[in-house]
Amino acid sequence: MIRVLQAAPGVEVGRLPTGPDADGPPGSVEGWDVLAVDTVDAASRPLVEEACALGLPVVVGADLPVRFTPAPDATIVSGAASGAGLAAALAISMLPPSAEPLKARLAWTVAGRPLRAGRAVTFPEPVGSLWAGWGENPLPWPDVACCPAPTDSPWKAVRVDLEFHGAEGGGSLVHGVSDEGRFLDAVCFGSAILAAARGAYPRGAGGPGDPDGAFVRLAREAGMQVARFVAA
Amino acid sequence: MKFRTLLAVALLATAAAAITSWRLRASAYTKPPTTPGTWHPIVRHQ
Repeated sequence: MIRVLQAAPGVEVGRLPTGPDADGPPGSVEGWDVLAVDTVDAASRPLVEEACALGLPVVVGADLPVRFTPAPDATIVSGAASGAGLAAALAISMLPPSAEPLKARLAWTVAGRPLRAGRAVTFPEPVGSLWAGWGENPLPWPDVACCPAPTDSPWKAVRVDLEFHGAEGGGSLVHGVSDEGRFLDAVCFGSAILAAARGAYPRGAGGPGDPDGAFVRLAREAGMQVARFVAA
Repeated sequence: MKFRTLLAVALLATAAAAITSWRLRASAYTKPPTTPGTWHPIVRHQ
């Protein structure tokens, strides 16, 4: 993730130790442009609250804890390093301008024991086909089927099936990503931080997908490959 | 007495064989069906 950030010009990366081996308080985020944390936990929460109070965007790699309620005027991007976040962001970026989504299916891999039954999802190789379960919809769209697919592979993948209609008629697209898990997490986390630094996210809590597709564009610039599925 | 013992053994053997067969079938992993088609990389324009 640091490499992704260092590849962008004009980015200065600082670290505030918050772990149990840190000496003293973690310091202040005053004067920074973005705060990024892996998770919102007891150690990072004071920094997150300070950043929200200062109006800085906060990017969280994991999902927000259930009991954490951010201030309504804060900008918080959660799930920045998650398959669900990437799938939702990819779906937003796939939707043509002025088109409306009709139906979507988001599928992503999660770490775990592969299922023996469920909904079959064909991801790009080398992940291939997996059984998926049922997940929560990370998009504010109706009629979205969400399919988390457990895998014990170090590779991660997402797949988005999208049907839409617009002024120029309707259409359907199937896009997917498959890459080494740690690389994909780092690229997504770093890209969400850069997108936040460039003001891509509106106020409120949401995923890494932004209306202008800056997150996906930055991730592709950082090396994420997107593929298109063509049915036989 | 001998007939009853033989019958009990036969019943037990049949039950054990049925359970083993069911467990083997339950543990067999069925690979999910693959949607026919191909993935094509989307070339990023600079």
